[in-house]
Amino acid sequence: MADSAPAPEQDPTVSVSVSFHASVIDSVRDRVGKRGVSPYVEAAVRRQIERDNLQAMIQANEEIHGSLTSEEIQAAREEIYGAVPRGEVA
Amino acid sequence: MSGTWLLDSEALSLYLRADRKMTARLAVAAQDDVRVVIAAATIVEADYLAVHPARLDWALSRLVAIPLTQDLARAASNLLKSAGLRGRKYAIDAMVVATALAAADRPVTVLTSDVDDISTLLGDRLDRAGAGRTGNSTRVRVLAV
Repeated sequence: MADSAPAPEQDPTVSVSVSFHASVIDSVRDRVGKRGVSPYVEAAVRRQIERDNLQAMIQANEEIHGSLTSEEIQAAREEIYGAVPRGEVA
Repeated sequence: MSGTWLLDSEALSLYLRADRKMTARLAVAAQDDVRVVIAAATIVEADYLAVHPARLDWALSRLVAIPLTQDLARAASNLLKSAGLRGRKYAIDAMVVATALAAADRPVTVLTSDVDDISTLLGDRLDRAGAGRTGNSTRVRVLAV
């Protein structure tokens, strides 16, 4: 994810107050320590924005050319990975 | 995280022209939680003539464009030298390949209309056998669009 971050001088950090359930924040602190919480949360949020943007890009094209069928998506999957059953992970 | 797909200018142009097959490929990426990115240099050469500027702006604001750092530029220059290629025609391809080789989330696949040149630039780091699914491969797969 580090390769997508803008230069710090163009994108200063701001402090915001966000509430989490205690168990979630405990898990984060266990993993990365107290000082690692902001980078961990930022990386997760940044990735979620990428996912949402990809979905938005797909939807925008579907509004132009019509909805994709599951057959079309499966055909693309086979083109990309070869003919493997859906759900199989090598 | 299921790796990274790097779109070259033709793959980006296919998306911008609302090509159904390209949208279907992106749907596979979304299903598999693959990161879809472009090299910043690709913005220079995508075929924008057929695309409304507002649509282009909209798409580019939603795509991660990996910046060309000095390190990547030098890596691209070395790729050109190793492949025995020179000149503008190959410069942006070399930037795309350098960006792919340095991408953090592996495995990496380049979606391109120019399989031959991208493969030549990858040299022995071309993943010929892998289906783009194998763990932390340092090699890069090339997929024709």
